[in-house]
Amino acid sequence: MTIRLRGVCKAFGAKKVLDGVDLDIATGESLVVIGGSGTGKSVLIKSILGLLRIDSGSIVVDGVEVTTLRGAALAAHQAKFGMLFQGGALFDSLPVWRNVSFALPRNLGANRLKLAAIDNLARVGLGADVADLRPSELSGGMQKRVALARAVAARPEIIFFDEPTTGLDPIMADVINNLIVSLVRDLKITALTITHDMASARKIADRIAMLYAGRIVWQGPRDMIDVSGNAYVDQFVQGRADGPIAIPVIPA
Amino acid sequence: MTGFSHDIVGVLRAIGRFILGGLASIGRVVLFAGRAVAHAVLPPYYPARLIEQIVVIGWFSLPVVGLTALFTGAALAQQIFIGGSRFNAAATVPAVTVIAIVRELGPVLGGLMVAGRVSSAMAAELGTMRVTEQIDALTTLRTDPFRYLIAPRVLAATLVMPFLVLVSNIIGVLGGFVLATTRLGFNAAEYLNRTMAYLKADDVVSSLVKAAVFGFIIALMGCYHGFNSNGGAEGVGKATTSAVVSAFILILMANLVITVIVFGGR
Repeated sequence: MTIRLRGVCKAFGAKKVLDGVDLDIATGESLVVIGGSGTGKSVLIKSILGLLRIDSGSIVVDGVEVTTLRGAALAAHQAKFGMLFQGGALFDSLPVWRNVSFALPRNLGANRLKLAAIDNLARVGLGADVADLRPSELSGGMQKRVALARAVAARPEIIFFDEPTTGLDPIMADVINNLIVSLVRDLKITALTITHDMASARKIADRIAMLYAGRIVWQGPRDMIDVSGNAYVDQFVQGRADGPIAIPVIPA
Repeated sequence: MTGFSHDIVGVLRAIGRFILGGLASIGRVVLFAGRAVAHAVLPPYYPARLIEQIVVIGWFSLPVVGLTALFTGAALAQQIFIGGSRFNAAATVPAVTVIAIVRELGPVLGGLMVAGRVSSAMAAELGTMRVTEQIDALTTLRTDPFRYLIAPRVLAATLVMPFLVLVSNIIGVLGGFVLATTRLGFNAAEYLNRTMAYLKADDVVSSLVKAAVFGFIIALMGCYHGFNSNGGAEGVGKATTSAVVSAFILILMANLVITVIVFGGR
């Protein structure tokens, strides 16, 4: 399952968020897109999913042009994906097991759906005892793990992780990173992660790309991130305020 | 261009923008409504979601609709008695009460009360789902958000409102009956006979048609504003307010249109 983006542009009013993104993701690869807040990372994955319509450019998934898909064809395209949302996006009106089994066929019946949900919860290190709880009864880390279990439950061919470690303490973030690595490896899924957490990027990625000012300014193997020779990447990786990425700050 | 003509052009431009914006909003609501109807009619269906919404909209609205009708019916009977007494027409209390309740006050007040309760709740729930990405999550979980969230709400509200208004009408007439027989000296059997004599099938049918239309409007406005909300908590608040206000206005407009169509030629 390959993904190819060429010249992808998307603006909201006068604000250009994506300004000619070119990117390739190979089958079974784990690509991490890094970039600061508000650089269009979430817009990028929502465009690939078909949740947002791009203004121009091409998005081809497994040989199919996504930008022209409508109705049932678009739904079939979206069914290939799983996604872990930044805030989990669990349905708070449903118990955990209903959340996890949501994408599974309803005709399996409640008992088999619940067993399938418990199996998937075990994959992310959660016991059957959480199955009947509501998402609001779980800690942030547990919610993230439930969302991870839900994202992989229907065995998607491609999975997107949107800021998977945001809001978690470093230890729980590492737990999530480990789970992502093992799930992607065991289930042989193509993965695209967007994050500004470099520890997460270093752990999850086969390859890293950096998005800045609506374009991919650098991409390469994970091991090259510290010797990229790219001033934008160096500033971001080292977390420096000074450099080519200017953050305007009005003096007090 | 002089300053005066420049000002005129500016005013005309603002008016034009306002009109175009209004037309675009109407177009979006009409498209949303068409999509909601299509998804409500075509499979796959979510019967459990439909039943859940029928309970939430219908059953839980019964107390507020019933109490509104009870107090309104009683107050109406009192006012008609006072007004009618000036023209020796106090005996018209049963007839005027039943006509006013069934034709207008039952459906309109019931619609407004349900709109206040249900449109706001729908907009808040869907708006929260939108800003927490739960609606996007549905799409990635092989579920059409329109079919899962919007269709059951619109269908349930349209189906259940006629039953609510029927109950409201009965309780409203009962409110007038209780007040008239306990405080105004009416004979119970005589009051009921006059009520039934002046109640026509057209009155009941128009009342139930209004109720179904109001139910559709209530769910449509709640779903439209919630589904399209953005901007976090502030956006959800705005969506909730817009849902209630637009539902109120559309209910009153639809009431006038249906009243003119059904009773305007007589």
